[in-house]
Amino acid sequence: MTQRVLVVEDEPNILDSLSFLMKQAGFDVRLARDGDAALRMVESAAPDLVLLDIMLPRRDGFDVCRTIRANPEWKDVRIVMLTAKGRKPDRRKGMQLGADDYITKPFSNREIVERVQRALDGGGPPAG
Amino acid sequence: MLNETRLGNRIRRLRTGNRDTQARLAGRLGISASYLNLIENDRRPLTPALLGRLAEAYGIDEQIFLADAPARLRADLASIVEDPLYPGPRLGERALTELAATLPEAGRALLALFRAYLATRREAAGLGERLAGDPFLAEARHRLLTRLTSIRSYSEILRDNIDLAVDRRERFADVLVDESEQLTDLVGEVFDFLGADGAIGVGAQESPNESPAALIADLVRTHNNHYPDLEDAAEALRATLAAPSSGLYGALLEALQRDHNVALEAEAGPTTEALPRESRTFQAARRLAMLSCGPAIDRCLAGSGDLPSAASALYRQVLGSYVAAAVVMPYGPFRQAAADLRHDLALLQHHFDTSFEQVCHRLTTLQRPGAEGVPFHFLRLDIAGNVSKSFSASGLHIPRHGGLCPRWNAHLAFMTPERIDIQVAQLPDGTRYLFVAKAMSRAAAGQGAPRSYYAVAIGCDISFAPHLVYADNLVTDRPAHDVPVGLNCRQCPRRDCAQRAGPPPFVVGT
Repeated sequence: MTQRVLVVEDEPNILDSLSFLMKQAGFDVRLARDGDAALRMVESAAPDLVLLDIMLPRRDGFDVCRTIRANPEWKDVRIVMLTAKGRKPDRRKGMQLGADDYITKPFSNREIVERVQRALDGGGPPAG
Repeated sequence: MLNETRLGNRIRRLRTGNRDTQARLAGRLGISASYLNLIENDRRPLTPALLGRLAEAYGIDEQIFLADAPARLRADLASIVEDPLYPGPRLGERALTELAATLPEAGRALLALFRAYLATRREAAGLGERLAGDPFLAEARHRLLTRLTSIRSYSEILRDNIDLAVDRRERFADVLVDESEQLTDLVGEVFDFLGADGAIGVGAQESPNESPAALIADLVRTHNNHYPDLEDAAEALRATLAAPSSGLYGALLEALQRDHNVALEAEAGPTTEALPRESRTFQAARRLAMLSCGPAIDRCLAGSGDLPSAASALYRQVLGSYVAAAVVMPYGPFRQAAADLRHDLALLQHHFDTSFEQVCHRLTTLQRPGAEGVPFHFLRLDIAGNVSKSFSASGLHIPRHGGLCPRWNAHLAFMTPERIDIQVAQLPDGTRYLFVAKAMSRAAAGQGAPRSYYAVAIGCDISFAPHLVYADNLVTDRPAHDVPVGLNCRQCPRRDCAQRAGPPPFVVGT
C-alpha cells in the first residue's frame, strides 16, 4: 500500500521541489502551506508522515507537532521537521515535542528521501 | 547660579589671549581696573550684564561661560569618580572642587574622556550582541538559507533526472534563475545593513558624546554645504559695500566703521598685523558678517534643533565664515569665474584676492539648485595625516575614522610644498577621481614661532576633468594608468599594495 506524506512548507518553490521528490520516491503526496491547513489535512487525509517546516504562517511547526502528539488517534503519524541550518535549540525542541527526525536546510535531495523512508520504516534518526 | 560661578581664571586667560590689559578691558566693560582684578581673582561675581559686555568685547558666545559653570562641572566630575567603572585614583571633595574651579578645561577633558570611554565600552559590548541578535540579520539568515535550499534542491533534481520532460526542466531552471536573483538582492541588503548606514553606523549615531566638530560636520553635510539664506544675506551685505577703490579689505573696514562703529585696525594686535592680506580680508569679512547677518545666522542655528552649547558656538563661527566666504566670493560671479578660468585655483585666488584654501572650500559650496558648480570633495589635512576638515559632494567617501589611503596625493603634496600636485586615482570599485592638492605652511608671527604644515585638496569625478585646467596634460582616458588607491588601509582590499599600513579588512562572518 502506498504511503502518504503530507508536506508542510510556506515557500512555494521548496514546496514544489519537495512534492516532486516525494512523488518520485513513490509516495502519495499532500500539500499544506500553513500550520492550520496542516492540521486539517492530518485530520482529513490521515498521512503516514508529515514533513514539517518550522517557520510557518498562522501556526508554527512546533505547535503543529505538539498538537499532533497530543492526540492519541495520531500517535502513529511520523513527523520529520525541517528548519534552517544551525539552530541547535530548534532541534532539541523539535525532538522533545515528539518529532521523529529533524533535517536542516539546505538539505540534499537524496538525504531527505532517505530520512523520510527511514522514519516510515520505524528507525529513528541516523546515529551521530 | 551665576553668582556662584568662579570665572576669574578663564576671564584672565581670555584677556591675556587677546593681549589686553586689565585697564583696557575694564574700560570697555565700564568698571574700574581694580574691580576687574577682583573678578579675575574670583572675589567678585561676574554679573549677567558684565558677562554680556565681556562676550561682546571679545566676540565670543556667552553660552560658553554659562554652559558648565564650575558648580555643575564639579557635580559631573563627582559622578565620574563615583562610577564603578572609574579605575581610580580616588579624588576627594577638595580635589574635585579645586579642579573644577581652577582648571575647568582639564575637568571637562576628564569628563569627555570618561564619557567617550563609557560610550566605547557600550558600543564594543553591544556590537557583537547586536550582530548576533539583530532581527534583521536573523531574518536575512533565514531568507538566505531558504533561497539556498531551493537552489540546491532544484539543482539536484536537474542533475539526477536527465529524462525530465522539457517543460518541467524549463520550469525548474527558471526557478533556479529566479532564486539566484533573489539571493543577489539579499546579499546587497545584508551588506547595506552592515555598511555605513547599518549595524555599525547606528552605534556611531547613537553616541551622545560626539565632539562638537563632528556634530557640526554632520550638520554641514545635511545641508549639502550650501545655505541659500546665508547666500542671500551675503549678497545683500556685499551690495552695501562701497566700490572697493582701496580693495575689498578697505571696503570691509569702512562698512565695519560706518555700520557698527568698529575700528578693526585699531583693535588689531601684532598677531593680526602679521597675517597675510587675504587672511585679514577674510577676518574682516567674518567680523562684518557676524555683526550684520546675525538674524540670518540665528535662523540657521535655530533650524538645527538643540545643540550642546559648545557645538552651537562653533556652528555660529562656521556659519559666520560661510557668510564671509560668500561676501568675498559672491555666488554668481565666483561660479562664473570658476567656469571661465576652468577652476584654475591660482587665478581664482588672484581674482578674488583670497587664499587657496578659501577658494577650494568655496568651490564645494556651489550647490544652488539649478546653478550648481562642479561637484567637488574637499579635505584639509596636517602633515601627520589628520583630517581637520572635509566635505564631499563628488561621490568620494572620505573616511572619518581610521586614517586615509597613503596613496592619495594630498599626502604626496607635502613633498613638493607650494606646488600643485595632480593625480588620477582609481578606487577599488573602479570609480575614478581627479585629485588636486597643495601643501602649505604658515607660521605664527615672530622669530622662532613654529610653522604649521598642512595640505588642502579638492577632487571631482573623472567625468568632470575637462572642466579643470589641471587635466589638460594628463592621461585621463586610460584607467590602467590611474594610481590605484583605496579609502584607508583598514577598508582596502588591495592586498598587493606596497604602501599598506596594515592587513586587509577582516572578513565578516564565521
